[in-house]
Amino acid sequence: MSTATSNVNTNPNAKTGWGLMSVILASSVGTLIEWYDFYIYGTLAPYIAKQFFPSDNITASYMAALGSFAAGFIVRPFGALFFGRLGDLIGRKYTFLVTLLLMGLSTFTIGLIPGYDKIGILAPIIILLLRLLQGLALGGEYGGAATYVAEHAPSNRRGYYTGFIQTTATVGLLLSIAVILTTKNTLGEETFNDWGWRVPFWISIVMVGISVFIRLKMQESPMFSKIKHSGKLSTNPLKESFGKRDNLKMVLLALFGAVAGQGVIWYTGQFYAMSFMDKVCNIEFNSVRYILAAAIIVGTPFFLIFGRWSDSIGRKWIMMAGMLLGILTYRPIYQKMLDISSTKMEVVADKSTTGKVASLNTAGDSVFTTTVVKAFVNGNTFKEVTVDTKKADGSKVKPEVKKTVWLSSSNWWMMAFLVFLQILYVTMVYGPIAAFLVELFPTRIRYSSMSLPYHIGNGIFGGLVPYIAVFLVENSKTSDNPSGDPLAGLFYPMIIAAVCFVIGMLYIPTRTDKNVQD
Amino acid sequence: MNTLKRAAGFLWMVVALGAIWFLLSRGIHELSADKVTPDKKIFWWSILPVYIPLMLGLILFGWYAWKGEYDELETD
Repeated sequence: MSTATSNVNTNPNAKTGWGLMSVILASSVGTLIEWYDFYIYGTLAPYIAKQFFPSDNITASYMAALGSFAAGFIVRPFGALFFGRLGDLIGRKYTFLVTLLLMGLSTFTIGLIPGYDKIGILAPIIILLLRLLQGLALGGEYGGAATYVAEHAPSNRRGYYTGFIQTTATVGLLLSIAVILTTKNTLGEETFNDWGWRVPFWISIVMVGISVFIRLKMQESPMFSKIKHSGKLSTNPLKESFGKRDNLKMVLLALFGAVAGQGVIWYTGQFYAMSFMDKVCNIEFNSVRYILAAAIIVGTPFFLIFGRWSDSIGRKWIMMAGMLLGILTYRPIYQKMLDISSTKMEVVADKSTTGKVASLNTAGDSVFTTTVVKAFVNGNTFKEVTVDTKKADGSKVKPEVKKTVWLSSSNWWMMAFLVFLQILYVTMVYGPIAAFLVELFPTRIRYSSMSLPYHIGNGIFGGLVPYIAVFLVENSKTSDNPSGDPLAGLFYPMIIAAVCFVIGMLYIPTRTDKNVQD
Repeated sequence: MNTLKRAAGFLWMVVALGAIWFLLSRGIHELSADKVTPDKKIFWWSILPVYIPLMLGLILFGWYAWKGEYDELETD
């Protein structure tokens, strides 16, 4: 077996000490803010839908669905192509400065647009366009930041230093949760519903301003400058990246042998876990965010640990181990999540109550609210509120049922541990991947070549995990089993990760000490 | 190892063709049903144009593997 990596730095342009840390800081802060901007839209989707996409307007409802999709998976790869090409033609520094500005201005403007009740159909159209711009900007950002850091880093520490960029997606999610919860708790539920939801969007402009200021002071990547001065820049990076077989085959290998699997593990570990706790386990809204935040805080250092480790043993083994663990353990992990939040167990009789209230709403309809509270022997508490409305004209509306589970302390920690395990797999597949992608492609077309597979893998294969999972669960429902198999959604990430694992094991090169200076 | 890599290339082509057949047959079946909900329309009209080109990419990957394009990569 050959040596996986070299302990000697072969990058003569590598920075060290504060010089390198300032490069990492400037790149990471900007990328983190871009992730923050992208996530607050998703996290605040119910508020945005209420303001801009009223459910009684079919066109607006379609736009809501299309907006969240298009930005997530169709537009990101286009952003990768557009900005990747720019980055290989005019340089990394200016390109990812543009993506940051584009993202920041789009996000800030979302917070300013008047609602559907004020400007009608124009409101959802503008929001949709701004969301598309967000997706476009995100598509161009990551490849630039990863390339920029990798081209400054010593070759024998490339995995470790690019690991800082890898933390930004997860920390961006954490930041978005923290800002939203803080704003909500400070302003109160009513004000937040009214206009307070706009505050996280406005805050973005301050963060982007600081980040642009930092990035303006940065120098162009030394490797890019070198090939620019020697006249070796590609005249058509897209044609060279995807039109030449020698490079196209590596793009396909990156996608099917690594990034597709990484994408599904990433989205399952963070977004599907959150959606599963919310919608299947019915755990209380804030608890879910705190569980995820705790798992992310403990898990984040592992991006750097696995990035550093990949410098010693190779990127391949760590990424493949992360995928394999996901394939083997997702079902038991999610089964355990179901078990500890289950409401099908013995009830403590003297702590359980049922209450019924009848009232009239403003339209003169009779509203019957039934509240059932149960305390279980495992310490969990469950509340079910059923709102039954009888219209003034005598017709009945389908009852609204809201179930909420509060976990006992021990179950809360167990749930946090189960989510942490999934975050750990995320760090295994995601920590080394920037270095892996950078090493696959030459400097002259690196930005274009690595950005496209990254955003297809994450935006399409990964971004679709929650959506396809819901579809699979719905399809598992039969007349014998009307609630279906709640774990059926896991088949999608497990199958994609399994195919990717086999391809990765067979074809991905083990050696990681490639000279990325061409 | 190279023989295995090449043989597996054929497998990726078959897997991708199978996935295309599954997506098309299932999508057409659901979209041609009497009552199609907006959610299902959006689902299939999003999935089909996105996944079918990706599966064509997997066929191309399998083809390259079958032709020995990945033989020179050092994997062990």
